Amino acid sequence: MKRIFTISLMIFAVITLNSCKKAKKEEVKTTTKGYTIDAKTTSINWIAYKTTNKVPVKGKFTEITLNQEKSATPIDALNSVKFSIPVASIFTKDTIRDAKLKKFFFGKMVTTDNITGSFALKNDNTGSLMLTMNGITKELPVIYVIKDQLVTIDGTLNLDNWQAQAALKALDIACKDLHSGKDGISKTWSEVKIEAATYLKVE
Amino acid sequence: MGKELDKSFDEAYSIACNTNKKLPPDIMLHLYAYYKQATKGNNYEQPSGDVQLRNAFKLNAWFQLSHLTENEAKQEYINLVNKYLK
Repeated sequence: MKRIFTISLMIFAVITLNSCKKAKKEEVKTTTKGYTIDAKTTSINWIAYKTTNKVPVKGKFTEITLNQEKSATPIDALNSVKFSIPVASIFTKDTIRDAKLKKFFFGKMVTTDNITGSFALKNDNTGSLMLTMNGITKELPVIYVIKDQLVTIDGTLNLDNWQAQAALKALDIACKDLHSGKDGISKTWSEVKIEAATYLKVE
Repeated sequence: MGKELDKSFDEAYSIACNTNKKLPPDIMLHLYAYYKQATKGNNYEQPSGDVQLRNAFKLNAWFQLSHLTENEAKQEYINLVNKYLK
């Protein structure tokens, strides 16, 4: 009798363990694919302008920190992200210019370390970027294109909206000769074009 | 100067396309990125392959050249072909 009871107990234990295994397997199966943004495959380029002839100066930020959740669609992935760009990662192929931008432009701002932001994209390839710079958060209209996993986002910001006039003036004075054209007038434009691209990760 | 550069670039591209030499993956990636920057600039497009990790590497390499003009990228591509395939 005792033996029968022990065998029954063992069978019960095996059945219970098997059903636990099945439950775990089913749990894995229900994990859905989702989109995330990968900092390593994200590019943030910008074009600023100097002289009265509006000569373009191209540059980029080489680092970005992302705080995000895995999302069901590319738009949801972009709208869920909060990003932070260290201004020290600015790169223009000219180390002297990079140092001037850090010292005279970003260095004159209220918050001198990071540019932060988040997206509010709509389904019609337009939307906005809530950008925080110089302690001010403002909306920047953007247009975007999603093709498979590649997303490109473009926008043009006016630095005056972030009250960066003093920083821009400081940069203009520091770069007076370089920002003067044939007319001898030094000008640093408050307009900056932003071009971002990212290859979304699907997993 | 522009026409000479274009001619040299086309020749370099032809050499790279027809070579039987096996190049290390990092050099192949550089060739891909310089070619894309030379012909498309910063107008990015999804790589044609369907392997996500490979596409990510390709785009990462291309993104890193955004500071180069198309002519600068052409010259770098030519330099790379001359160094490894000539």
